[in-house]
Formats: sequence, C-alpha cells, structure tokens
Amino acid sequence: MANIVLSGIYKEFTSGRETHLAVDGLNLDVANGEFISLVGPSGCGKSTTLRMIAGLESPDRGRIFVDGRDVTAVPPQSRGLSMVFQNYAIFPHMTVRQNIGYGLKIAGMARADQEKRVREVARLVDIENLLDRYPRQLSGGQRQRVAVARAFARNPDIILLDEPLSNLDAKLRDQTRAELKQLHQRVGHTMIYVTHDQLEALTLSDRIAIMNKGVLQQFAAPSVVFQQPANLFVATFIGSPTMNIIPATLLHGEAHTAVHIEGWSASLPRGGSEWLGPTDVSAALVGIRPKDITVHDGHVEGRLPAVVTLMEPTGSDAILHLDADGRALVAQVADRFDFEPGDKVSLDLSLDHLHLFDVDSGLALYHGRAKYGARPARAHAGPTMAQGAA
Amino acid sequence: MALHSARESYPGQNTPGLRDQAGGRGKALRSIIGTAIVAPWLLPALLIIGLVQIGPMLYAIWLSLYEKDAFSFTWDWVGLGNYETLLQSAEFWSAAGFGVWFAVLSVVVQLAVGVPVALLLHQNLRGRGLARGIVLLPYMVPTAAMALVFALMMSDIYGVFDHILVSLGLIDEPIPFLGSHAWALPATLVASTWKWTPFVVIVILARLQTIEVSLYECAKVEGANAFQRFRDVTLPSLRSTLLLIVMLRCIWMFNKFEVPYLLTKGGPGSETTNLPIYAYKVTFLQNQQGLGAALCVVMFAMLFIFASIYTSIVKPEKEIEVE
Amino acid sequence: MATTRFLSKGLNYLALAAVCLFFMFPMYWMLKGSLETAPELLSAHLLPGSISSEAFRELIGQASFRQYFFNSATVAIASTIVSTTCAVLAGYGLARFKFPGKAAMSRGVLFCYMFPSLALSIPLFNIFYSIRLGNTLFGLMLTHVTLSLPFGIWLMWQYFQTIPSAFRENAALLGAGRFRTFLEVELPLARSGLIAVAIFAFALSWEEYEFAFVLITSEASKTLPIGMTQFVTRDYVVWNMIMAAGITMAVPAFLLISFLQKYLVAGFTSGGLKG
Ligand SMILES: Nc1ncnc2c1ncn2[C@@H]1O[C@H](COP(=O)(O)OP(=O)(O)O)[C@@H](O)[C@H]1O
Ligand SMILES: [Mg+2]
Repeated sequence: MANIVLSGIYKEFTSGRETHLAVDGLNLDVANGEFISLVGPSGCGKSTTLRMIAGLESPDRGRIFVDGRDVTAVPPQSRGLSMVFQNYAIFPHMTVRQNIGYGLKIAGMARADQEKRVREVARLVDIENLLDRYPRQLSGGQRQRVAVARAFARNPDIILLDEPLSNLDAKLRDQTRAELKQLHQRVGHTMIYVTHDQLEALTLSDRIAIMNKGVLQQFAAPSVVFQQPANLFVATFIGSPTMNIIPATLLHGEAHTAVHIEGWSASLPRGGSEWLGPTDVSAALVGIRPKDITVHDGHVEGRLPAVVTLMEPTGSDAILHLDADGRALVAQVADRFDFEPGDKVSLDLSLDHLHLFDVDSGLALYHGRAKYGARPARAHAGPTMAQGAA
Repeated sequence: MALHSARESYPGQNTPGLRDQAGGRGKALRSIIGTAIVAPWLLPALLIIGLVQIGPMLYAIWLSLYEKDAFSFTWDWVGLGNYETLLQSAEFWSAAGFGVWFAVLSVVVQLAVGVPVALLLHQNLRGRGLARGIVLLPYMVPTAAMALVFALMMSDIYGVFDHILVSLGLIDEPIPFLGSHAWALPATLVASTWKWTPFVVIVILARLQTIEVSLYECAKVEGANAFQRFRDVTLPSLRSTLLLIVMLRCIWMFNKFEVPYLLTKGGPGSETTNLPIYAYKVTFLQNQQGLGAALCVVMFAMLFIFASIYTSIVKPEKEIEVE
Repeated sequence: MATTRFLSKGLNYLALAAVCLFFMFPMYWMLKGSLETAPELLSAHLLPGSISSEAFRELIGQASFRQYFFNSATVAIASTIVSTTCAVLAGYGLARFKFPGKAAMSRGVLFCYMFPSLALSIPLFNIFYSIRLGNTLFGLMLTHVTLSLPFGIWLMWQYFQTIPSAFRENAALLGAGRFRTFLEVELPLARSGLIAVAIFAFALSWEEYEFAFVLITSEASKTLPIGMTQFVTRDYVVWNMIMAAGITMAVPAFLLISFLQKYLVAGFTSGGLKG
C-alpha cells in the first residue's frame, strides 16, 4: 500500500507535424488504500494518466511521487505496482497458472512459493479450478479474473485498472464490479481505476477524478461530485438522465436573489454557504436533475408550463421529455405512466436541489442545500498536493 | 473540504506548458540512440544481405569496367567498352527482347488461367478443399523436378503429348516440342504456366476471402446480378492485388534462368535465350567475365527501374508504422 | 431457371475437374514414371504397365545420390535456421524501435526480394573463391538465406507490429527485461509467422537451382536439383530414376507444406512469395 501524488503532470503526443495535448497540468493525490476512479469521455487522457503512473509513458513536465519518493524517472517494474489492461493482455501461450506466476518467476521466487502464491490469489478471485487451462479456453469473465489475479500476485502496493470491465456484457459487468469492490475491501491495496462509465466510478470509488480534454474537472467523493458539481461539465457528465440546463436571469435584492426563467421564477436566500461564486452576475445557467422536477397535470399558476413530447417508461420510473416554451427539458417521475405526448403539464423545480452555473466559465455559483443521503468524504492522511513543483 | 480540493485543481491554475526546451537537439539525440539500439538486431541480416546481394552488385559494376577472362589474372581497363560491345551485339538485343517477350506472354497466360481458376475455387463447390490442395501442388514441386518431367512429357521419342496426338491422328510425325523453332516458346510457356499459376491463384484467393460477404449480400439486395456483382464488388477489390501480381511476376519471369535453361538450353540456336542464360554463357562458356559482369549490371539496372516503379505504386511503407 | 442453375453448376464442376487434371497430370506422370521400369516408361502409355520399386532402389544404391540428398538437406536445414533467426531479429528490431530511415528500409527489403539470383551468382563466383567459400556448403547456405530473408523480415516486421503493445507493457510491469520479453512473450506470440518463414526458407532452399548451379562445381558439394538434372546429360538416360529422384525431391517439400498448411495462409496473405 502506498500513496501517490501527481504534481503538475503535462503530456502531449507528437505524430508527424501535429502535437496533441493529452494531459494538461494534472494534480492528484491518492491516499494509502484508497480506491479512486479516473472518469471522463473517451480520449480525455485517462489512460495516458494511468500509463504515466505506471511508467509506461513519461510526462513531459511534472513529477510523480509514490510514498513521497519521486518515481518520475523510475522504470515501470521498480515502482511496485501492477496493472490490469483493458484487453487483459493475458499471454495466450501460457496457462492460467503460468500467467499468474509469471511476475513471481521473474522475481526469482522459489517454485514452491510461486505455486502457493498462485493458489492464494486464484482463490481470491475464485479461479482455482482453471489453473491448467489456456486463455483461449476461458470465457471473457474468467479472463478478466485471471488478469486481476496476475495483478495481485506480486502483492504490489498499487493496482491500476484500465477499463477492466468494458469487454464484459452488462450482467457480468455488474457482478464483477461488485466483486472488485469486495476484493478491495478485503485486501485494501491502493487502486486507481479508469473508466468512461460514470456509474462504475460512482459505485466503486472513494473518490472520483473527472477529466475532460486532459484537464481535471473535479476530484471528490461520489456524493460530492453528484450533489456539488464543480462546474457545468461535471454536472452534465455525472448522473443519468443528464441534468437539465436552463438559461436564467438573476436579480439581486437585499436578502434574496430572484431567479427568472421564462414562465417561472423563484427566490434564493442571499449570502448563505450555498453561494460559491460572485453574487452580482445578472445571468446564470440553472441546473436541475430530472428527478428533482415535480410534474403536475394541467396548467397551474406559478409553475413552469410545459407540454409532454415523449414518454419513456423504464420500469419503475417514467422519463418525460418536455417542451417548455421552446426549451427541451427532461423530468423523471416515479410510479406514473399515464402521460401522453401533447399533455399539458406544469413543473416545480426543487429549490433545495437547484444549481447555478456561471454562463462564461461554467463554474458552479450556487448549490441547493439538500444532500442525497450523503456519506462523509473519506478522511485521508498523506502529503497534500505538491503545488508548484513544476 | 472535497469541494475545496476540487477548486484547487480547477483548470487555469496551472499555466499551460511550454514545450520541452531541448526539443530539437533531443530529437537528433534520440534518433542516434534509436539507431544504436536497433543495430544489433539488424546486424546479422544486413551482414548476409551485404555479402550475398550488395557486395556482388558493387563488384559486378567494378568488374564490368575491365576485360578479364576466367583463367588469367590480368584486368585490362576498358571503361564502358563492355557496355558498348553489348549495345552493338545482336545476341544481346535478341536475349533482352526474348526476355521481355517471354515475361509479358507468361504473365498474361498465368493471369488468364489463374484469375478464372481463383474465382472458380472461391465458389462454394463440393471438393473445393481438395481442388485447392491440388492447385497448390506445383508450387511445392521443386522447379528442377518439374522441368525434368516436362522434358520427358514433351520429348518427341517417348513423350506422352506426341504419343496422344499421333494416336488420335492429329499429327503424322511426332513433334520435338522443345527442339523446334515453332514450339520451343509455347512449350516453355506451358511448363511455366503450370509451375507459377498457383502463385496467382493463391494470392487472388487470399484476397477474395477478405472481401466482406455483406458487400455481396448488399449488392444482391439492391438487385445486382452475378456479373454486376463481379464488376462492382469483386473487381475493384482485386485491382491492387492484380497490380502487385503483375509487377512481381514480370520481374521474376524476366529473370528466370532454370526453366528455359533446363528445358531448351536456350535453343534451338539461341531462340529461347534470355538475359540470364546469355550472361551465363558469356561468363562461363565464353570466359568473358567483364562482359558477363556488364550483363549483370544491366539486369540490376532493370531491376532498379522496375522496383522503383513498383515501390512507388505499392508503397510498402504504408503497411508498416514508420513513426 | 432451375435448369440454367443446374447447367451452370455442372459447368463449374466440369471446369473444376479440368483444372485438377491440368495441375495433377505432370505429378501423376512423375509418379508413374518412377514406378515403371525404364523400357516400359518409354512406351508412354497413360497407365503404368507394372509397378516396381526398381528405380528407387537403384537410386538409393548410388553413392552420389545419397551425397546430393545429404548436401541438400544440410543446406536447407542450416539456411532455414539462419534465415529464420535473422528474419526474427531484424523484424523485431524494425517493428519495435524508433529510428530514422524506416521507410527507406521497407523499400530496400522489397528490392532485395527481387534480386535476380543468376546476376548475383556470376560476381559471387569470384568473390566466394577469393574468400574461400567457393564450392562450400556454407557459402551456398548463405546465398540460400537471402532467398527467404527479405520476405521473412517483411513478414516478421508486420507480425510483430500486430502484437498489441499491452503484452509487452504488462511483461515490463511484471519486471521482465527487453530481451526476456522478446523471448518469452513476443516471440511465442509471433509463432505462426515464424513457422511460415521457416517453411518458406526450407522450401526455397530445397529447390534452389541457380546459385547451386553456378557456384558449386565439385561433385562433393552438389545438391539434389543440380545432381539429378545431370542424369539427363549422360549418354544413357535413365528416365525412371530421374522421375524417382523428382519424387524424392518433391516429397519433403510436399509433406512439410501440407502438414503446416494453416501457417502458409499467414504468408500468402501478407504480400505473396517468391517464385
Ligand atoms: N501513443 C499515442 N500517440 C498519439 N496520441 C495518443 C497516444 N496515446 C494517446 N493519444 C491521444 O491522447 C489523447 C488521450 O488518450 P487516452 O489517454 O488514451 O484517452 P482515454 O481517456 O480514452 O483513455 C487522445 O486524444 C489520444 O488520441
Ligand atoms: Mg483509454
């Protein structure tokens, strides 16, 4: 187990005459035994970040520390970490036993000890009965376990996983996800997990690092990321269905700020801890999650009028696509499926769950005070970000 | 606290980076290091290619500037004299002409046989696997063995072809195929078609198998008939493969030595003598090493012209990651 | 409609039969000739008169034939080993390392692939004599290596490129050094390419005529293709023995290729072969 600090990491790729920025000024600290996820759209630099931590790529600028030791120039095998690759990279010409034991063999471990250790980790992921098979004789899920077992075999301090579930079908993915979490709870390695699937990140991690175009957007516990998104990108990336974003004007009074949307307005108390940014802007973007919109039949004074354009039942909920004076909105309604396209409805936006974002920078200005069953952010020791080391 | 740390790592805090200052010099250094690292891996191959291919080529250029016979140790400088001799020699022009003529004819015949055979073997017929094996057969038969069996079959005394033709009453007298003016070239063509058409078949078949079946299905759904499917789906996918085959086979057929030599010894007279046979005769039978070397240089030069055209069309570097 | 389809199917099978006949007949003739006695063979009947192993027995009884066979096998096996080793090393180097001039290298490989053997063998004759490689199996073996080497390098280059870098990276993370990764991880992954290269190297060397014809003049170093064609030039032409020699030449190549046919596909699909 070890903590990891990334400080001012910068990486670009040059192919031919073009240079392509992959990671831009990344700072990240991961505590001992913590499970963190790197999440973001495809191509945002997650894998590159992970590979730099592993030592498979070297950053153009910035430093990487493991347990306070600068490992930026240390070769991969000496960093005390293992990695699970997206396609597993299980050696097809070796049996499962040889695959898991390969790192031990290289380390020069005695045969008997190797065998013992291989059995141990194989038991951990429940593949003891497959040890003599070749990878081609395994299913996708079994291969994934072999890859995980191999990563654990040398008992590294840190385990890196690059989209390890993306090649599995949906059901197996859910099951394996839960098993991974249990595994982490049992063995407690520091784990860094790359995924483009926000649900995986939310369910697995102690903290989530959200990236976009090579830039870290927010690094916090899942509940915080969900309830207090740092900016518009995080707000719309995390959560499904996506948060509604509606342009609004702000009018600042003595004790309250009035938020106006065409056909609806509300007033928020001024000066509380809910306000994060400047309180004197006259325009903002309102963010509201679909399930924080209450839908009433018919037109009601003081509520936002809208027309149903489409209903998608999901089993327990209905996703309503709405048209409010030309603006497309989405609401999520529990236990009601009797809407029809063309129905006139009116909407209540929950003030406790309302967010405001700056129009230009996208930074959050205001978060409603409600918490969805928050859990405390994990306390962690270890060095704080080594700012300015670059 | 978490929100706070998010704030800290928000974009704009870290000024976007300047590029690596040592960019230019680092690149040159890296390429030197890269060359140094790769050298041991390439060395064995380069040594052998250097000894067997590059060395002799340079030596031939040098030798072609001298007059030297096989038994004397004297080298008499003649400059481009050997080349002048060649250009004025009727034998040289007839050998070069026959070489081109033989290469073009044999490639045309190989394609004319090979393409239909490949299309046939690509169809879903019973016994297809066996037939493919049989077509591959000539490719595995050593050329010398094949030349001998054709020499036997085409003999006028105990050859099976003459035997059949005479007993069917088509001809009165057995024809000495390999020794006759009219038949030496066709006979050589038949033998080389048998030996090298499989190359054409195999390469085209391999290409045909990579054409997506869904393309044909789509064309079928759109109402294309069999001929239209061939013209619009098969042929375009074969174009580059055909080009590759034509170029490789032309250069190889032009430089063939053993087949014409073993079948006809370049005869009758010197009618089926191509450049390699001529070069062999000049060097080892007439003992004119300088002149023979000049002939080799001519062959190298033709190869270079041909291969340059070939590589600029086929662009081998596209198939590998150069960066 | 049904009749036209039936007809076209029938035509297809007819064509298939004709194709098989054309490509099989010379092989049949060789086999038939090798099993007949010399006088029978000369009568050129389509079916063998009698079957005897006389030709084979006589052939094997000849010391010179045994010598040729041994020489051919030695040269073919040695050049297969050398060519495959060089091709694997060079292909790996070209695929894995960054250095300038790779594009030129790829063209150079194709150039080498097309060199005319006879035009090389004429100057080589002198060179080999001056460095004491003339009339040696070792010298001949080196020339045979160059027949398959360019193709081998090209195939291995492409093969190593297709191996996902994750295997190598994973081995590195597990602590394997560059050479160990090459030997224990990447080479086994490129096994079918390697086998294809070895087959071609063997087949090309086994049947090679031109280098052997020009470079080897001593009886002790002659290979089978040269030795057997010399039977023809003797006064008394023993065709049944020649056909038997042809069969003994064809069989090893035939067996090798048919047992390893699936590996051939790898070779054929990656840009053709020499021939
Ligand atoms: N080896 C490379 N050469 C050039 N560009 C690369 C390389 N690896 C990654 N990139 C580019 O860097 C960006 C980030 O890639 P990556 O980290 O793989 O994204 P992802 O978040 O999907 O894992 C992408 O735009 C990608 O095209
Ligand atoms: Mg990725």
